[in-house]
Amino acid sequence: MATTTDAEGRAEAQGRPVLETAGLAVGFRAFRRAPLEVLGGLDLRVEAGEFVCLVGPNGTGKSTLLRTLAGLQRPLRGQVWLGGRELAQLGRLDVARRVSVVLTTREDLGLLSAYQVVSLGRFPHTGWVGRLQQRDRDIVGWAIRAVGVRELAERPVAELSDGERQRVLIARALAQEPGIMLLDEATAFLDVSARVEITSLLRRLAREQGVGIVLTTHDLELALQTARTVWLLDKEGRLQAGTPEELVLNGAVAGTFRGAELSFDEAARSFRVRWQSGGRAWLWGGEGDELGLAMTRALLEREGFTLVRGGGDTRDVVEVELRSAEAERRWVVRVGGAKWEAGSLGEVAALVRGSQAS
Amino acid sequence: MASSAGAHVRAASMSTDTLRDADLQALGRLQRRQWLSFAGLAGALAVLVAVAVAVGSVSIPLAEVARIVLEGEGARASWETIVEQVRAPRAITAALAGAALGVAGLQLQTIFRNPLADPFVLGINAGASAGVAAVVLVAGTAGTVFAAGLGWLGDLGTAAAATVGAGLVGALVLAASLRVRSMVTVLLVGLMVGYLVASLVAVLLAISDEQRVMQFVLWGFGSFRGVTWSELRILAPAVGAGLLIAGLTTKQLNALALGESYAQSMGLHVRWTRVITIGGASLLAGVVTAFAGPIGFLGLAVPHLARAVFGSSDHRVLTPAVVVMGGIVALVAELVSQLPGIDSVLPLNAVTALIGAPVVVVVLLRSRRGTQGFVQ
Repeated sequence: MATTTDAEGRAEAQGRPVLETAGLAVGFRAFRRAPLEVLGGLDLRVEAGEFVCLVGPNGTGKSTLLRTLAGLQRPLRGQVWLGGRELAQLGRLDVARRVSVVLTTREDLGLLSAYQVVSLGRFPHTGWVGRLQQRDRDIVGWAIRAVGVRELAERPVAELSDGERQRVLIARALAQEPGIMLLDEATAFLDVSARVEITSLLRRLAREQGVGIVLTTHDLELALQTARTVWLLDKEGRLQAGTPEELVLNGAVAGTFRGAELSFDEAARSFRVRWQSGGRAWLWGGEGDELGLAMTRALLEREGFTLVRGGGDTRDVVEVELRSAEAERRWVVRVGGAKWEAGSLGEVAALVRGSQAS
Repeated sequence: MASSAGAHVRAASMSTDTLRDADLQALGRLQRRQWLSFAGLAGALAVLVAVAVAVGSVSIPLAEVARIVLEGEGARASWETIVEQVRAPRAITAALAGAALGVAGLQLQTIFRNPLADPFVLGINAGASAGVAAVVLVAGTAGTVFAAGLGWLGDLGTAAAATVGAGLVGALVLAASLRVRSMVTVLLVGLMVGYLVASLVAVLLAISDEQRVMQFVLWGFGSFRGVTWSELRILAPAVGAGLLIAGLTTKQLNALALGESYAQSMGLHVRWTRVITIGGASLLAGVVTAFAGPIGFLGLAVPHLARAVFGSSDHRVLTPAVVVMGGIVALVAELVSQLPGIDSVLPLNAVTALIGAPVVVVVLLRSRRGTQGFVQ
């Protein structure tokens, strides 16, 4: 194996299915009651090197699906194949050598160092005492480097930040040498930059290490920009799979997340909050100052104004003119004959709010 | 066949990487400090066993003690009897009991993921005391062979009853652990059974005559004395079996560090591990309680001392460490309970907590683990 080069190995691995399901139904078995089906009829496929984001509103069964794929709970119906072998036919350790997880549970890890946590991933590969052989130590070292936590290796995990901790747990999952890694909300509770870091780390790991990765997330915008494939779950429990752009184009994304005060801006691939209209506003001026205009527009929309064009009936329209010079912006606000000047967007906001109140 | 596509790629990419970072590799091995700590503690245990054989209420010259131990005969027959039939079994019992209770506590703290867990939480001690209460109080009034509560047969009867009581409660908690998903529920079941059984004992105490109540209270003080060689023939193999179970499941207990879901995802048979571990802990705690009475504190404190001294949560380090440290703590408590100058012997349970509680508080406050929070 060691004679194979990186590129050859990757080329060989890419495209091979590491996970497939047919007619899979997941849910909960209750004692002396009919099982509760959360999701059904799932035909899914993940290839080696593929980064999949599973996106959907709360309570649609993302975690249940993930736990079922990981073999942590039994499917209600249908089949799951891991690396070409059926999950139901595999022993515990065989399953653990094919799929690893990062979960939402937060355990107090006491004195365990990052290195020790990562080496826990060798559990299905070591003998009955759990002693690490040279090969195990090599793989733990490789996982630690691949995830970029070498400098944290000796630190107790309890002392790490949330983002660092997630990286260590990802390294642990990697050290298990799975064909596919399943991560449940691994980027929740993280700040924006850590969230982006983790997501791009996963994308890179999938490509460079040829491992399939499925991440459940609420962060649709980030998912659309990073995942190769998106699995979109709607409130009715339907799952649509496709490239991000395809799902935006066919309206699946907008349909799933439509709400009274929310709309999806397809071109920008981002959400917009819609407020009930609190009046009309006409914004003009600001030649050549795209950013100034955009921010003024954003402010007016946030304050609840519907933007209109000038001309016609302008009696109850708030008129905002942007005058952009060198490094200075000024705004002129006209409401029903009255006129004010503002030197900042904060002042503009106060003025237009005043016009709404009157 | 065993190497999946992913593993294949990884093996390839590893060969091109500079993986043999010596510092990183060293993290995967036991540290020298831990070996030294272990050697030091093992030495201390050996010294304490020797002291426990040499010291007692009857003063025997050291040379005579050595002669009795090594050659089997001393200047006086009474000295021989004291050293061979009283002190030696007492020292061995203390070391075994300390190791057993410490390991049981370690196992339960890990499996329940609760630093306050010890054999008491499973109601095992309560079960054992119910067994003893039944023998001493009920059977006693019924006028059976146990009525005297004296002699070898009576002691063994007490031990058997305690084992049965502990076993019954252990089995009940085990059954709960198989049915229930949450370990907190299992913990609560154990506590409830403990309360239930304790209240039964209280009822028995209320309706029994004073002399028998006194006998029961004395058993409740706990003692390593009075365990004979023939009883050790039961105690030692039972403790050995329990320690063996703990020693063979260190990998499984380590896997539980991240919680049961992670452990399951790594291929651990979680319920089987629960059964084996709770069963083993019940055996260890039950058999010790049967012969030495309900000895508190050791099961809770020794695992924490071991974690603080060895700075590790790895059961491959902790299990042998707890065996040795448990023996040490129990022997020290036994020696303190018979301080020279005091005619009567102090209750063992009082001594373990009296010297142990402050030590544990100091150790916890000074260690990083103690001040930064811990589980298992």
